Parts: sequence; structure tokens; C-alpha cells
Amino acid sequence: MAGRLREGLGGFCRFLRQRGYPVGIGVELDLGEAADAIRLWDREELRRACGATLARSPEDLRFVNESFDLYWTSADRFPNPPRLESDTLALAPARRPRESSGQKRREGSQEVERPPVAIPLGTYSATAPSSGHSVEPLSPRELRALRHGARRFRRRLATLPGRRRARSRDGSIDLRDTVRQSLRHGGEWVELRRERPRISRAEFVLLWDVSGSMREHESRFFALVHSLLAVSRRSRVFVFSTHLEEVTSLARRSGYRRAAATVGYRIDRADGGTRIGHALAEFSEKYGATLGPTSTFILLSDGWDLGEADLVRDELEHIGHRAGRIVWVTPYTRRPGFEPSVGALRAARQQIDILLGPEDFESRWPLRPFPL
Amino acid sequence: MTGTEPWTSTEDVERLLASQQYIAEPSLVMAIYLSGRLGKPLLVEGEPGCGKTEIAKALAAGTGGELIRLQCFEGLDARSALYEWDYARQLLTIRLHEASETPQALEREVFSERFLLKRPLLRALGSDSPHRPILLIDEVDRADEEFEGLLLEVLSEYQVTVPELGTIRAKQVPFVLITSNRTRDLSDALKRRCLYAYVDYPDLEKEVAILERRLPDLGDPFARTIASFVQRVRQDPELSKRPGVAETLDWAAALLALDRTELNAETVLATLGFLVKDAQDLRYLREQRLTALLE
Repeated sequence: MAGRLREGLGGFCRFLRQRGYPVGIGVELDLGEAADAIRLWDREELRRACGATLARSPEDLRFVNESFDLYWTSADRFPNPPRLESDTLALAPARRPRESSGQKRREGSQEVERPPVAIPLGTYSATAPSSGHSVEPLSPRELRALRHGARRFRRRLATLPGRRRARSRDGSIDLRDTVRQSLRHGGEWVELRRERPRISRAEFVLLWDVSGSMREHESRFFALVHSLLAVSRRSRVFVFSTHLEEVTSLARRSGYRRAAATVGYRIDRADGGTRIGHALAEFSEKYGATLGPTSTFILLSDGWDLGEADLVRDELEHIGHRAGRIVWVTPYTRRPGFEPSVGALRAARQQIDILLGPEDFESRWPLRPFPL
Repeated sequence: MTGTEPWTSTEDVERLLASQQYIAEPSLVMAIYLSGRLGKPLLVEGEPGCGKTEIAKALAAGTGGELIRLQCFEGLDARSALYEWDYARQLLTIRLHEASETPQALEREVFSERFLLKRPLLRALGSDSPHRPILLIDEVDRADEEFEGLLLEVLSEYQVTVPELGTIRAKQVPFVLITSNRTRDLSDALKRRCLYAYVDYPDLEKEVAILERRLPDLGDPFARTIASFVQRVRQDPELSKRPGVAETLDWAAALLALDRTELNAETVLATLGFLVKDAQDLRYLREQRLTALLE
């Protein structure tokens, strides 16, 4: 493979990391091997090869493809017919240092001068990367309190059998306990003791609103998301503002601070409000089938909605038919005089089973749902 | 370990799949091609009934390799996936030879490969067929997370350690296809070891092409009518289970068997169960949406 191209691929991996997308060395090597096996001059082939080697979910695929288009900016970087033999394939990183472009001009007179591509990190538009910034982490003490509260929440809303077993009237026979009981009666089996798995596991599906109006609560809500994922391995988390995206694997990464950085750089934070109803509709369409009676659907949002409030109500009703329970977490429940009267929250009041604030997940507060 | 390469370009893969009536998206073709070239497992995710399992069948039929299938389920463990000793035969052998053999010789005898029941993963590693075997690990999301741990050693090293026999290495790297319906998130460790492809619902043109390939007797206008109807059904957000390509093919085959050449309310009412396999969805479509869908 041409040396410059390998450099370019390395640059693409670095670019993805800058955007908060985890690319390990092993995967980078795979991409190098894949590049050796394809026709490099074919832009679409390289794009597909990047998708196959770097992505791990449909959301990743979309992100990698979007990043590919940003990084390998225009089609003229992939000339036809192939120029690979002459090692002049112009695949250079978008954020190339100035001196290297000058050096390139000296090295090859055939090289076409290409305008530098500015990548505005920290903002979002349909055509610009959304690198953003890390989510500000909470202190270890606050995080411990949230983790403790999340465990309490899981116990209260558990729907699935765990590994521990508890005595029961109609479960399977517990021979050990039966024998132990019989010893108290001179070895006579006076009672067959029974047991069944204790319901202790939960399955959460979280939809986290990351629009502008939620920005000041971002740290606490991310810590809450991270805590809920940590106490329930069957959970999934999606973020939404301009579009819906699953971030489960990123948010679950080992180390709270690392996860905060990765998720922070990855999410699109649109300014202002969001269209909750559309996000719910998108969720229903793509992932609705994964909800079941054992799922607890948790919406983390302040309810500021720019879309139709009726759509929120209808979509939540639809989700309510599938999921076992709907929980809405809003930042303001403990503020004096709070009433769920904001557009989407008011419209969806009938569909919500439990309305909570982030404080309800902190161990210093009792879990006290807001009366609906 | 060796692996005879059945394809040398993406066009080879495309031709091979097409020869088995499988129409694949270019991104899927690329993932299959690279999976073969790099010797890495391919993780294919997508909605149920969109042809994930069919990829393995088409590859096996096209390359002549043996298709070895491991259907995952909750509680799947090493004994069902890797190997198990044939305890009944071991006991019988011990009873038959206990008088004539020393205990050590007997132990060596009963813990030899003859008494090993090879399950799909071990069978795929031990295959000495001239063609690469195709190992299909189907619906891995149904298995427990612990099972993914078991897969890690097998898929990264292509070897299995049996304590009594030692390490068994693959004679040739199998083509490994792992499918998942995304009912749960797979572990990062497993995903890292795989290449990735996502199979989505086909668009109208692709669905028409699939119908024409699989059921050529349908003819273009009727195939298009069926595909358009299915596309409209699929777009309905009220459905809890959207029909996949498999359901489209089932329905089209049923219509063909009934000698139908057009869709009307009576035909659809009588055969909709082939397309929609959920009682509530079926009732909803029949009672509320049928007229709109037929327009």
C-alpha cells in the first residue's frame, strides 16, 4: 500500500478518535489489511471497507460514513483511472499541517493544490462534525450516591429473575432447606420447602434528551445514565436532539470519566429545544420491537418540545403498549411549585407511570415519585 | 492453518451470491469479501427475516463448503457448542474392559478423540474438507453474555483446549458468520474481533428483484404490486413486528400457489397471515388499514 495512503488512513483513525469514536490499534491494523485487499483508487470501495472494519452498529456505520465524507473531502481525491502505482494518490488528512502540504508540493509537481478543509469542532450541522466536548464529570462522592440510588431504583422496578433464590409456596423444591428443616423434626420430612428465583434484575431502555435546554443538567443526567447502565447489564441508552442515536456501548465503557469524555464528544447537542415526539417515533420504528413487558422505558427530558405535543402523547401510548412501565425523569420535580405543565410533559401525563427527578436517584433522598 | 480462498475480488462474491439467488448490498458484499480475505468473523446484524442466515446458506452452496450451524438460545453452554464426552459409551467401555486393561490404559482409552462428541464449533475447527467450512453462529443475541466469552478464544485463535486431549487447532480457518437481531447489545470484546455489516429492509426495487429471482413465475407487474404493498405495511408505525423479506417470499409463494395475479381485498384478507405473524397486527391491518393499503 502506498505510504502516503497508509498515513492518510492513520489520519482518518485519529480524526475518528477526535470525534469521540473509539478506534483501537487492532482495528486500525485491520483497516490497513483491508486497504491492502481492495482497490484503493475506488472511493466507494474504501468507504465500504472503512464501514466494515470500523463500525459495530448501524449508528456507527452512519457515523463512520459521515466522517469518511468529511475527512476524504471530495471525489477528486479518488481519481479514475487508478494512480496507485505512481504513489501519487492524494489521500491526505483534512487537518493536515501546513508544512506537510508545502513539502508535498516540492515532492510531486503533478500534485493538485487542494484547499484546506476547516472542521469546526464543537458545533453541529448536517455537514460538520459534532465533536463537542467532554461531559463534565461529577465528584466520586456524588457518583457513589447516584450509583446507590440507581441500585435502589433497580430493586423497586425489577422485573426479571436474578441468580438468588427466595422461599416461595409454589416454586421448585428446595431439597437443601427441606433436609435442614427435617433435621429439626428428627429426620422426618414434614414439609417440602420450595424456592424460586428472586425478581431482582431490571431491563431499562433510556432515551436521553441532549438538546440545548438540558445542557445545564448534562453532567447529572449522564452520571445517572452511567449508573443505571452499571446496575443493569440488559439496559440500552439512546440520545436524541436532531436525531436519535444509540450510545450504549460508549456509555458503558469502563471508567466513568472515560465514558463521559467519549459520549460527550460523540453526541450532537442541538441548541434550543427538541422534537421529542419525532425522536419517540424514530425509536418506535427502529427499536420498538425490542421492548417487552419486562422493559422499563425511561425518558430523561425537561419536556421542552418544539414539535407537536399530541405526537408525544400518541408515541408514548404506543410505547406503553409494549413496555412494562414508562418513567419520565425531569430536572425540576423538586423545585417549589413544580407542575408537569410544560408542553410535552403535560400532553403525556396520562401515559407516564412514574414521574421522577434526578434527586430521586440519590441515596440521600427517598425515592418519591411526583404524584400524577 | 490454511484457507483456500473462494474469492479474489468483490465481484467474485457478488457473482457467487447471485448464483444462489441472493441479492446483496455492496456494503455487505465488501464485508463478506474482507471477512474471507482477513480471516476474521463477520457479524451481521439486522431485522429478523432480512436474509442474514441466508448469507451463510448461499455462501456454503456457492463455495461447496460445509455449512455448520450453531443456533444460539438462552442457556447455551460449552457442552452444546463445543464438545462433550460420550459418557454412556465411556461407562460401557470401562465395564467391558475393566478386567483386561490397567486403569491408566483404560483412562487413556476413554478420553481419546473416539469418545468426543464434537459440537458445531469444534466440528468447524476440525473440518478437513477441501473447501472452507462456513460456520454460522445464528442469533447470538439470544445466548447469555457468558457464551460470548467462550466464543472469544475460538474466534480469535481458532483453537480449542480440551483438558484431556490438549489444544485442537483449526486445520483451515472457517468462514465465520455471526448473526444478531439486536435484541441486546453484544459485548465490545466480541464486536472488536469481528467485521461488521448491517442488513436493512430492502427498498422497493431490491425487493422486486428478490421476488423476481426467487419466484420468477410471479412476473414483473405482480411482483411489483406485492413489493409495494409490503413496503406500505412496513412503514406503518403501529405494527409491533414488521414483515421481513422472508415473509414477503412466503406470502408471494402462497399467492402463486393460489394462482392469484392481482391483489384485492378478498385475497389479502385470506392470505395476510403469511405476511404478518402477530395476532394484534393482523387484526389491526384487517380492520383499520386494509383499504388504505390497497389504494
